[in-house]
Amino acid sequence: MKKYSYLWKNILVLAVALLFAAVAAHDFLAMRTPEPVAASDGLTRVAKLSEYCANLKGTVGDEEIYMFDSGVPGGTFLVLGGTHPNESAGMMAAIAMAENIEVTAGRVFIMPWTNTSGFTHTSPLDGMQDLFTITLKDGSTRTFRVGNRLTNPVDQWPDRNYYEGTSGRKLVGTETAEIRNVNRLYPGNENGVLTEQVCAGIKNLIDRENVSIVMDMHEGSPEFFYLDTTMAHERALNVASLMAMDMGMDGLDMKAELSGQTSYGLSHRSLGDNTNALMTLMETYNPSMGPLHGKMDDDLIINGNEPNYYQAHLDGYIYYRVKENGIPLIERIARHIVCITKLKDAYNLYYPEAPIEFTCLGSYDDMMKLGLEGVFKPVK
Amino acid sequence: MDIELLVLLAMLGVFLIGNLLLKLPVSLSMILGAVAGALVAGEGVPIRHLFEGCFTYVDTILIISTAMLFMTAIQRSGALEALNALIVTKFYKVPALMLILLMFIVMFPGMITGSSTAAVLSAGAIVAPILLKIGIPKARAGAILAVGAIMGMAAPPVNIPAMLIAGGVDMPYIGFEGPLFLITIPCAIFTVLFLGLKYCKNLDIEELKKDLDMEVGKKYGFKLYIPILLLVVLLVLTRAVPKIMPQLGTPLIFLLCAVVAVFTGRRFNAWEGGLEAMDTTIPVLAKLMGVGMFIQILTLTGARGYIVVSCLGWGLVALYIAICTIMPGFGAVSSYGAASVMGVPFLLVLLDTGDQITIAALLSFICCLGDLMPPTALAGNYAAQIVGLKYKPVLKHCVIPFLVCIALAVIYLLNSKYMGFLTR
Repeated sequence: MKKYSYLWKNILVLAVALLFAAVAAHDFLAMRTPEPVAASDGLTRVAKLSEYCANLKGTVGDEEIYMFDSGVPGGTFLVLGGTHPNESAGMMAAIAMAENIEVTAGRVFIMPWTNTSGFTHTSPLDGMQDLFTITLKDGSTRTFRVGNRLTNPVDQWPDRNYYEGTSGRKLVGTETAEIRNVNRLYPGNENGVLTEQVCAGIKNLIDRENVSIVMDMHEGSPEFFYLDTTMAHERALNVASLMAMDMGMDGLDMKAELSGQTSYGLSHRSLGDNTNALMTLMETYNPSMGPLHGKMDDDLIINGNEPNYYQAHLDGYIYYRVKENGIPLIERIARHIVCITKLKDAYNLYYPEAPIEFTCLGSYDDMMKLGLEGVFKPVK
Repeated sequence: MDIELLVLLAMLGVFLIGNLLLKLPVSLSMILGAVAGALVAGEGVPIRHLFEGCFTYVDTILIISTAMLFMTAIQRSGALEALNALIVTKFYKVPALMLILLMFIVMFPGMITGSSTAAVLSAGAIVAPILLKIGIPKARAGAILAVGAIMGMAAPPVNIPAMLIAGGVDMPYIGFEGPLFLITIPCAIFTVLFLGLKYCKNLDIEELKKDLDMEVGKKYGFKLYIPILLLVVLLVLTRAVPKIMPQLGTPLIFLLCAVVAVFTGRRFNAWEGGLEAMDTTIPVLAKLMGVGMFIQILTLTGARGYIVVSCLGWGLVALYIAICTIMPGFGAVSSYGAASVMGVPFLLVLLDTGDQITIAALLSFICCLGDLMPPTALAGNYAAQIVGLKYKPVLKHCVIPFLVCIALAVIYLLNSKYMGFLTR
């Protein structure tokens, strides 16, 4: 009798656990549906990354590349969003560009979800939102995902105790989880783990399509030292410096920094060293990523208003100039798009023989006036 | 009252009521505390967050489970008894050296894996019978194991809290060896001599031999030690020559060595041994799951940010007091949590006061001491279990070593600007 009671108790515990797992699974599975994109009329085709790394075919890493070809000969600009899915402005700026860009010379390729697997989960202990919703001018809504900076362990696990990437970067200790970080594994390996294959696909895309210049869009926590900064490979430093000066003249803080010589595996270093493209990477402020943030909700993600960080800045603990009312998502998206536009202008000055011309949402002030509700288009 | 403070009070209150009044297990009390916090914050019962928090430490859980299987296997095979006899008969004439060597043995798995639990469960369980047989009382022996395991966790090459703190400010985990050795080695030597030396003078080897099993070693010879040697070899080789050695992973290494132990000594029922190991370890695994849920809700509701910002507003003197009290105190929930929640902002505050790597290393050391803090007290609880006591009497003997460790860390922190040479 006692044995049966023990058995029933165990079955009950198992049933409760399964019930909890089923409810949680429902939420996590919802993160596997990508955001719809109402691409601009200039869209030429949507390619897949497996065209550049065959091993990605049929995997979660076989992501979409939005290609806008003006038909006019010129250079090619590759825009990477969502390298780190928890850095929302990167993915949002990429989608906003895909929906509003008009290319008149050369080509622009946009990858909104560079680490697609990272968008399917969130980071344990960070209490992150999985989704957030914005309301558009016509009253319709659009929902976007906030993921994890790393590939989902469901797609790539376990992490090795030791890893030496094709860049020479060695990962040991807790850094071993970085084997799931797209921005540590460039130039990648077509026969490696999923994240390496994604990196190899991007490297091959740059090589085969003769990409001229790349912007990898990121965000950082308020503690991070390189906010409002563009890291540039040495071959891209002149272009990045000109862009930073141009932004400064518009009243937008921007620094251009030389990519660290030992920043192995990062896009600006290892793609710069291993391809002909001019590699750049930009960071904006994101208070939801830091340990001091308050309650995690749509307000924090969308309005970027975090009094804890403002107070910490006033107390002298945060070097970054945190604004009293925060830095909303639209401001960070606008900063990324303006940075890319001005980077294009600077590129054209140095490389007039292979021009890239496009317009996208006008100036910084134009985008701030439009707001999130005007920058994104309604989708069916 | 700030809503975050209310959430924090609700979480701690429900946790304490559950654990102390209702006598629920720590793990269940933590889950209830997490749910209460979410409800007070208006989040309902956030199943996704609870589920995510629950799985945070899945890798650590695998290591602990397999380490426990290994320990049970070498206990049942007779390897532990034979090893005890060997060490005591070789080193009994120089007790201080014997104790220091035993302490280093306790530390070693922690240095390699970065986990005090792994250190206690592997080397701790091997050393414990020796300490008891040379006459050190159970509670003191437990304290030696607990503090030794934590010194191993904090010592290089793998110090996970240091990596978490360094990662939080984009500082590479390079140059930490010097400061970490300088703090962990003296603290370890002090602890083992302070707690154990007075019981080890004039050891009567013939008396000791009566309590030691001198036969099992003779009967099975060298092959009895193969699982332990294999463990050391695999742990060291996978890290020392990773390009040559296949990456087996710590859980698989423990599991392989446990299987080998079935065939190298006394015969025993492996199924029963495995069940016993899991029975012992499940409460700790559940505790880790509860800790994950608790921190997840602390972060989700903003209570974590509230704690940190409150500490930052206290000024430098109060900040040092917080570093000595709240940071190790947070270890009652999780020492890794203390590093990621408090270590990063504290480092930012202290960056200008001295050598940055040294400061990060010392903060990580203080975080590691949190593994002594009840109720979670991973190192302490397992050490107590190994010597056959509840944690409370063991904890009593940890107090002075703990205070000495904190005092030394603060002295180093205040003088870190002179210690930069250690990080080059």
